[in-house]
Amino acid sequence: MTTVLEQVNRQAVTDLAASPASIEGAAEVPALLVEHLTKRFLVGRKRKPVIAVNDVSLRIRRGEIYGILGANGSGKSTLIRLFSTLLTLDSGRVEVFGHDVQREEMTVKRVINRVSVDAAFFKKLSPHENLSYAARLYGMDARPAKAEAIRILARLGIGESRLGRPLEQMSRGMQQKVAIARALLTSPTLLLLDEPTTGLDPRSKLDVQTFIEEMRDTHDATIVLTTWPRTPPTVSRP
Amino acid sequence: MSLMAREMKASFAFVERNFNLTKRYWGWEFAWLIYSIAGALAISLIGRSEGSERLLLVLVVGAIFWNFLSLVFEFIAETVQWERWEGTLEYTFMAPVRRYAQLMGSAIYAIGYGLVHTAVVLTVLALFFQLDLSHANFATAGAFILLGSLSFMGIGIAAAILPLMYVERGGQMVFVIQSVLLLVSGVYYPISVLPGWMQAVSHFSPATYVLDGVRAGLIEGTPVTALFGDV
Ligand SMILES: Nc1ncnc2c1ncn2[C@@H]1O[C@H](COP(=O)(O)OP(=O)(O)OP(=O)(O)O)[C@@H](O)[C@H]1O
Ligand SMILES: [Mg+2]
Repeated sequence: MTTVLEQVNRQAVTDLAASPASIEGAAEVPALLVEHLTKRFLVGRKRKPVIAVNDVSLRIRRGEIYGILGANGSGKSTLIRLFSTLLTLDSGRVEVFGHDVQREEMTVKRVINRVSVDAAFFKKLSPHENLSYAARLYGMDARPAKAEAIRILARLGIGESRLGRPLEQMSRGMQQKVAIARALLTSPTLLLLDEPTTGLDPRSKLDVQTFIEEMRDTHDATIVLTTWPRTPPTVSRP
Repeated sequence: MSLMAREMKASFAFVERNFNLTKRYWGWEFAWLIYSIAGALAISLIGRSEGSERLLLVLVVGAIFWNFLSLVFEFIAETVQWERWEGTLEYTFMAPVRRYAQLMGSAIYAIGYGLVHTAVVLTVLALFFQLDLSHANFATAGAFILLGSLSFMGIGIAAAILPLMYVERGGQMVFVIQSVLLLVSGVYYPISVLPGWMQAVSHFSPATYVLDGVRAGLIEGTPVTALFGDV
């Protein structure tokens, strides 16, 4: 089950090693360094182990947009969860800008953010209320955060007038845009996107894509995503 | 930003979020309030039907008190469950917030919410029964309420740890603790009617002492100085 995923990652790693750019880059601290990462889940009464991530290694440089591709159930989401400190590793090592995800959890948490397939919100709260919660969690002041949220959402085509009503009144695609805005709000230097544009129309996908590329250029952000909209997922470098 | 200020700010995230949730679910809040008032009245009316003003007061104090404690406990027990239900649990756990900031935030909001809610129930009960508090010693009652609030903050925070530590079972644990407290603390009866081993357990519940103190102050008018041993 994990073969597709492994292949993509192996290829990416070897690719990097072959190019002169990465030999130079080897001196700098990678945005994300993964070495022999393995994660098992114990399922059912018999606690049968299911291997979700099997010996994955990768090295992603600062400013890269890195795609992870794999069949359903191949462990993409699990991998993203491992990077975002939500799961404990069974073996191997994950470092974000040189900080170990387990030993320096707080430092890692401050520089990452993640958008998942399911827009996780308090559905009765408005986008403003949800984003204010997010901003405070990340130690931002509410007022500038609000202004920033309005700016980002306007870029994604959501007007200010929609931001005061319960989120459940928005379409799924719009909710997903709010989720993307929430992640961008905290200016993460490593942005983890798990199928971020699922449910968006082609135009919106393009909006998000352009915005994310802009993020990388202006904020020096590194982006890891599963499935890239429209174009087949590839490993791209700036 | 200093670490402390950062944590305080993060705690406030939970207070503000919960306040917003209360506001958005106001229909449910109203329903809960009616339920609490009806419950407290129903129990207190047993005292009236027995024709005992003393029993009435004992029950009113018990009902008010239990209203507060159970609200705080339920709120805390449900914090994690609620997030799981909304699907925000992973988002919250991914944020750079220490568990104790989350804990402080939930506990502070739960206690504030419990106090406001209970004040409304108390007002309705006082008006309904035209409570005669002429013998009451408010200094004693006040002292114990203050003491009680502090100890409940302690219990509240201790209880809030469980759902955060044991994401799977914490909520259930808090629920069980709450039930046991109801039984052993003498909320509606003197603990002397309990079997011996239960009485022994009741000495570990701060609620027992708070209830004793508040009742002694409100009903018998005992001055606070006479209850120093209890404090
Ligand atoms: N919490 C969990 N408990 C038990 N097993 C899990 C858990 N999460 C994931 N798994 C298992 O791990 C494997 C990988 O799941 P994962 O969600 O990472 O796949 P995915 O690549 O994201 O799939 P999809 O394309 O459908 O999103 C699956 O076999 C899944 O059943
Ligand atoms: Mg997935």
